[in-house]
Amino acid sequence: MSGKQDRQKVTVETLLHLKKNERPKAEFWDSFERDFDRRRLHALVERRSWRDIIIGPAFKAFALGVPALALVALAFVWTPVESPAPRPLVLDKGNDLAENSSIPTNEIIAQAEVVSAMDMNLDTSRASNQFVLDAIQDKPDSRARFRKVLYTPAIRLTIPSGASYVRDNLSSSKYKVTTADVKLGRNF
Amino acid sequence: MSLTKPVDTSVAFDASEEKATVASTDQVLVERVQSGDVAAFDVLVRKYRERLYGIIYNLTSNREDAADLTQEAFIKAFSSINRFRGNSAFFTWLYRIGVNTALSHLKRNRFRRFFSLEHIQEEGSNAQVLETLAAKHKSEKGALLSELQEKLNEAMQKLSSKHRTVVVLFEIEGLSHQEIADIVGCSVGTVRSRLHYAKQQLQADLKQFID
Repeated sequence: MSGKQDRQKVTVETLLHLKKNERPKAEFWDSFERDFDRRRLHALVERRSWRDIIIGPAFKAFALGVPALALVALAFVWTPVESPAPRPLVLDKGNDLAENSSIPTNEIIAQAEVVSAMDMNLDTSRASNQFVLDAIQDKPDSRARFRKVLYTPAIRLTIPSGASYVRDNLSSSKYKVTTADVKLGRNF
Repeated sequence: MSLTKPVDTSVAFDASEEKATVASTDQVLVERVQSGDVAAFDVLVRKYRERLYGIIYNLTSNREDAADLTQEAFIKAFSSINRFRGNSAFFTWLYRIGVNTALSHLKRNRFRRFFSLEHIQEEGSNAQVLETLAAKHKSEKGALLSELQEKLNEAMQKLSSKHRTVVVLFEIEGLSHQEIADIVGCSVGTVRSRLHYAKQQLQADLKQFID
């Protein structure tokens, strides 16, 4: 056989097989093992800590407690408040209202006569569980018809504070914004 | 001269039997790891680290990255070993993690590539091929070897990552088409077609070395 025939034919496959022997020396695996052990330890610690957080007893309590608390809170909010009848609120003059609210005196209509919601036989179903409709006062005789609506937060059935507001028929029907709103700079 | 290789059925049977034994041994080790035996994972690491490193190295052509990514792949396998249900062989699952880790790395660093090559060990048939090439090119073997290695890696990196993966797994790692299809997540037909296309491209790039 000639020397030429002895020679191996070089193909893509034989060249690629050369790459099989591109490999690291034995020492490489020692450092590889050390590094790997360190990284695995790190991963183990990390995994444990995450597991502790996710399925640990504190998390379980938290995970179960929060929805339960939310449900209780929701039930409390949406249950109609069977509160005792609101104390009759009688404020004869705007000054009295001014004394007990944050609305400046000059913003309160002088003729406003606030009467108790009970006295006016108001429809109590209109009173939400968040606000109790205290009073509505209609004064057709005056130059402009005012309607005064007072709301008080349900939990505090006392004299209305800044939550009260005034609407007059004219402005609310035409412009949707009351004059009092504009004066007080309120945006309902 | 016939182009088809003679098929030795006894060898094929032995190989499949060996693979089945390996798979069952791996499964035992995996079950031990799943039940909390960390040392059993060391056995798997020692068993597969060189092959996994080889795959990742040939995909990246960078030995530092390959070492780092091989460790990362083993860590990923270790972290998610409880999710391994044994539907495929452990090595298929591990190689899939390795290939995906390497491909994600390549995708992240597609604008920052540089070679860092391992030394080619001159052994057996390799030495013979190198002799042939040195005689053909009338050059010194050492110089030829480094030039060939550089060109070979360049040609590999010119391939798309999909084609490169198939070439690495089939030609360098010697996996079957079916195993590659399982690892890559495509059909055997796709593996064959990718392999064919990749070889054509490599042939064009390496024509100076090919007879």
